Amino acid sequence: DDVSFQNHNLINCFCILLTADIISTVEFNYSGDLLATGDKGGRVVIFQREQENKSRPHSRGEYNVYSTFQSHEPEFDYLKSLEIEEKINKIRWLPQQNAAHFLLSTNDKTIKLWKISERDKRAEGYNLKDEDGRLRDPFRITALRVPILKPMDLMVEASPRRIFANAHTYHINSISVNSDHETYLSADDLRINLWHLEITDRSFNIVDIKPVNMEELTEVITAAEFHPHQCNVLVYSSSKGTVRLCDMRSSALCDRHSKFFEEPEDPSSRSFFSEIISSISDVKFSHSGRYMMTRDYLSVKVWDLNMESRPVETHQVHEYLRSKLCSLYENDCIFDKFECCWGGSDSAIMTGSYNNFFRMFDRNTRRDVTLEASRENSKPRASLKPRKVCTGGKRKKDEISVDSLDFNKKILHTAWHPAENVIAVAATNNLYIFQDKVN
Amino acid sequence: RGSTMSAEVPEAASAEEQKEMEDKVTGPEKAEEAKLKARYPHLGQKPGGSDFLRRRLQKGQKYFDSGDYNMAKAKMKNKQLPTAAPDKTEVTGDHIPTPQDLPQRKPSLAASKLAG
Repeated sequence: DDVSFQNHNLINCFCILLTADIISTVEFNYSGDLLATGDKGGRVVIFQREQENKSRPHSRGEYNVYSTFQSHEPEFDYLKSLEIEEKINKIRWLPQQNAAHFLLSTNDKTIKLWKISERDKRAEGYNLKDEDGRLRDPFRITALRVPILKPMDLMVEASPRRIFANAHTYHINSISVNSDHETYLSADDLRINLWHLEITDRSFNIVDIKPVNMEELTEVITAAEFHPHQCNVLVYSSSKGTVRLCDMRSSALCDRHSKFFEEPEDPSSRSFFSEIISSISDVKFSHSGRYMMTRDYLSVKVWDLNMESRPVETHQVHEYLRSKLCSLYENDCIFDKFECCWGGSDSAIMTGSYNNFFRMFDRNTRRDVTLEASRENSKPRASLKPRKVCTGGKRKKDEISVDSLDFNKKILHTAWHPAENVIAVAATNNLYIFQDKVN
Repeated sequence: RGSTMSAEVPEAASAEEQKEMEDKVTGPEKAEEAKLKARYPHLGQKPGGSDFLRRRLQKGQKYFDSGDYNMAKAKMKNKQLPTAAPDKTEVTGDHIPTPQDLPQRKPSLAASKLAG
């Protein structure tokens, strides 16, 4: 029973990166030609899409390693006697303005702006030094020559251009570049700061939910994002399942929201787990800017920015886990933070689950599919087979029962090419790239 | 089952059907809650309390000081390298050593120079 997704068949595309560390973030750039991953060891790996090549037709659309660098190192916070992990929490690309590429990468405390540039020429014929770099004796120089540029093997260099440090007391969970391309926000558990990309010694606090008395703390910020077109609008989600939209034009400190998105809850259905599973782990604006999507533990919800009272769509990711909440609380899986993403046309959305499963929802046809990112189950250039979880009763062949799911195999990070049906899925320390079959 | 559109209701569900649907949803969750409370009777009522959140704010392992941290890091690095023969490892620190436990005294540099 082959489920076609939007009349396309997703195929596994070769590139499986095995990293030493768990991948902690995945992000395409604005054109989709570059894909960046960050991992728990503080390293960033950037992939570049191969251009169409007539001599190697199968290599069209292949992503190959373009650059690798160490972004963050572990540090020690002397005041609190705590380790500051080097794990990259988020990477966000800047729109490309010249030949070089720029991205922001952040760990718990420090954001860095990296410049990735290509060098394919080398100057030769210096006057003051030899070809191997040794200084020439100035008295031996009898003639002047003009150095000439000679081609060399392509070298991709990454250099840190800005380091934005010491602005967060708590752990950074989000960064988001503003549509003005000059500023960006960084959000931790209790505060959101606004930065100018050129200025590292100053940051402007725009949201502060820290209570005067920490005993009164009831919720934390879980994610934040700038609107894709309106440079004055941002949203942030909370551990209580709410989203606040703030307008930076209304006041300098956006503690008072302009809009408050919360789905009403039936008080009779409230349980010990209600608040935990309602905690929003990710919030993303649609490309159009008209909608936003939130991910909580069991579902993804699509909200119309013009309607705060309830979401316009709710998609169940793995509702069968509701009867497993007790064990998921005991093994801490209930606190896993899944991300979600929009397809380029906003007609489809995707999010991860357990057992290396990920889910895709077509908003127009209202169909959904469960796919698996694993080596055993996918051969290169073969179509991905839809998976099914058996929720009760007799288990059919090819179905997997809820109790057989591997909760250590979690897909927390996924990314979707901005224009094409190419997706990147991070399964622990493996990166999978899938794309539409070209007929 | 996959997704619901809140904006439109295909058929008006009767009150009975709605309660049945709700039971299906609240049933498993409340059952899980009862299971948890049975295993951990001293568990507080509100899981999202400030204690819980404050612990969440301070994630990460706490060390005594930077020396403790650097020692722990060094130990981790050594663990990743192939382990040396275990019989001559240091015994000090874990328990009071006996003369048999201590490694042989290495010849002093001065002595070896003379010997060489």
